[in-house]
Amino acid sequence: MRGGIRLIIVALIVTGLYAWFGNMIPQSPWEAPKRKILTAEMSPRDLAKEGMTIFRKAGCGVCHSVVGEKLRARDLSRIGSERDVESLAGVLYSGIDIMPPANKPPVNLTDAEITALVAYLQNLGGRPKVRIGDIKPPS
Amino acid sequence: MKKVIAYLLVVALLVAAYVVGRAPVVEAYKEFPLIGARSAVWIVVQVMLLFAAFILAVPVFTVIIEAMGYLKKDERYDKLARDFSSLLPAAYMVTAFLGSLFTLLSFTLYPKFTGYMAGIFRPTIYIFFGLIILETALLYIWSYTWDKIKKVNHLWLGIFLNLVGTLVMFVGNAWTSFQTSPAGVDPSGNLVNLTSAIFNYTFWPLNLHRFTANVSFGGFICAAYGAYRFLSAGAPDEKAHYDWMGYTGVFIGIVTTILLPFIGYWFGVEMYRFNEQMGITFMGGALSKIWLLQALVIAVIFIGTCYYLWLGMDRIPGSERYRRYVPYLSWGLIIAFAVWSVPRAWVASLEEMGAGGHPIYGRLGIMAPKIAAVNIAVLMVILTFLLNRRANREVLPGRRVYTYAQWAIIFLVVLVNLIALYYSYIVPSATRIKISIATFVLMIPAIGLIYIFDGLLLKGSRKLGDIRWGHMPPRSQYALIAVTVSNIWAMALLGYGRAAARLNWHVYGIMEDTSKYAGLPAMGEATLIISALTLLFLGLISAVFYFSGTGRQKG
Repeated sequence: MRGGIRLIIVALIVTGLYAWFGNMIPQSPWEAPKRKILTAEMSPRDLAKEGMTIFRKAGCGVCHSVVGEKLRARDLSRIGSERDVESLAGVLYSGIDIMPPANKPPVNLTDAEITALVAYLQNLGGRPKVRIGDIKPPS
Repeated sequence: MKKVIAYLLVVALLVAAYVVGRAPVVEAYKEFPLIGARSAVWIVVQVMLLFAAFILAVPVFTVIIEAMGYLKKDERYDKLARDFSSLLPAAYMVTAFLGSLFTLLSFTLYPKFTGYMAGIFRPTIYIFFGLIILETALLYIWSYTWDKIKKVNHLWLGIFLNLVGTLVMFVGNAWTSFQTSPAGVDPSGNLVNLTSAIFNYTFWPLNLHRFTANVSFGGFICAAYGAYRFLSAGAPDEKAHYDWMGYTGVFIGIVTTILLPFIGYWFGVEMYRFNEQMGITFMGGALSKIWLLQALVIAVIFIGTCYYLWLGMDRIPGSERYRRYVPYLSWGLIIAFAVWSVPRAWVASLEEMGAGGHPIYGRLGIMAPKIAAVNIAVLMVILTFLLNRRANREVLPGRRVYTYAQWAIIFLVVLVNLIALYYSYIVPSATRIKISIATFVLMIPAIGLIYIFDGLLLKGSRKLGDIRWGHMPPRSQYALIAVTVSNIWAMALLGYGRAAARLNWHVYGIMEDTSKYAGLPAMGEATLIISALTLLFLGLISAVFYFSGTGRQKG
């Protein structure tokens, strides 16, 4: 019994230490992305705002910086002035190198969300122009 | 007493069925009272997996110990093997109960997902249950024929039992690995090829990782059992036996643990091959904090084990000659784990990944130098074992050349890893990965050569005295218990990490989690659940130990 009590005390201390440490570090749960309704009436600027949220939620920032830093993939801070709508949409729909297609799982964006993302990318170093319905998804 | 437990288990199962059955239906999901569906399944499946690990691992090293006893003609090994095996029947019963409860919870709380998985893997489910029946029958035959059939035949029976147990694990791993890296299905999730679905990207790394981790886990559990009995024992011969049991358990535990980083790295590589984004999220994205906790827990396991072994040198005559190396070994371990614990990124959500690295450490936390640090930590553990082996031996003068050869290898390994560690910070990621693989590959022949030279070195050496088993301070046993609890906690943490890599997908990219639990809890909540289920497992396994011990005494 003596050994049993000591075992319980050590187990409580060790598991308590790890739980304490886990609670001491900054907390931020990960929430699954929620779909937002994007309409043809939205201005390119409003779409770009939505696109920024999608960019963050979809995990694009894991590899791409938008502030001129070199991360795993190319920096996108000037992409709006370097690529046209077709080129941006083409990359998002088909993927490139290790980047998966944005319209397929796990990213799984809708056509409207991809349009909003293109508007956001146009805004980086350029001006958003695209509206819902402007981009035709590949057949 | 066993009958009472069996009745209680059946009643508990029926109560759980009633509670779950009454829960309101929410689309493809049902809710579980108080703790929620996700936590209920999480706790039950993890505790079940820990028990499954135990019942798969114990026969593996029991057969090894039994074989050693047979070959060395040493009764102690046979007694130890029998001690371990006596824990199995009760542990099997609890595992079967938890397995039934998990199946029940899965079908009732997640009916759509479980139905989908059952549809994809239907033939393997029949194989799984067939193998479980065969394994149970073999276990009982193996347990009850210990002294009744020829030792060689009993050993073969044990090997066959292990083979069947491993196959059971492989079938379960096919389902789990499919969730992480699905294959053999079309984009809508319809089955195209069952063989591809089974042999998906992460199937083999998961098999090897779980098999090795299970043996390691079983070793540590037996070490903790030895520690508990040592602390309770009064008679010197009893203390000596349980001291030896603890040492044997921790030896099995740590030797297999040092293989795990290598296999884990392979698992990571396969995950990247399947889907780069998943790999990045797993290692440096939303799950980055898991690796900080992992570094802390593994540090406790490595340093705790070495601390136990360093204390154990006091019971070995002649060990005074080697005590001066202990501070260097401990500092080597501390520095290695300091490198390992530098976070790659400090995010718990993908949204925060805009800046890429850690706000303070920047690129210091990249993975490749950590692998060099792990290699050095592994080397420190191996050196600790070498000191234990050599402590009561006087080496023949003519054989000292092998010590120099060992030092040359150790120097080379440390030098190569320090260079790799330095260059990993400044070269591109593709080069970093190649450097890491090279340092891993170097470690395997290096460890092999160190042990070969050690065998040659100790050949014909003179014994300076017998090991004084049982002469250990209580703090050494607390270290063993802390190491074991940390091992259980690490298994639960990394089990969570592997499942969390799927983010909001039941089957990655195929079946999305649309329940209110889609997403991941904060690290604090996760660690509370992991701690709770670790304590629950310890409580249950202690009950198994208690009833097995009572049964043995009656026998």
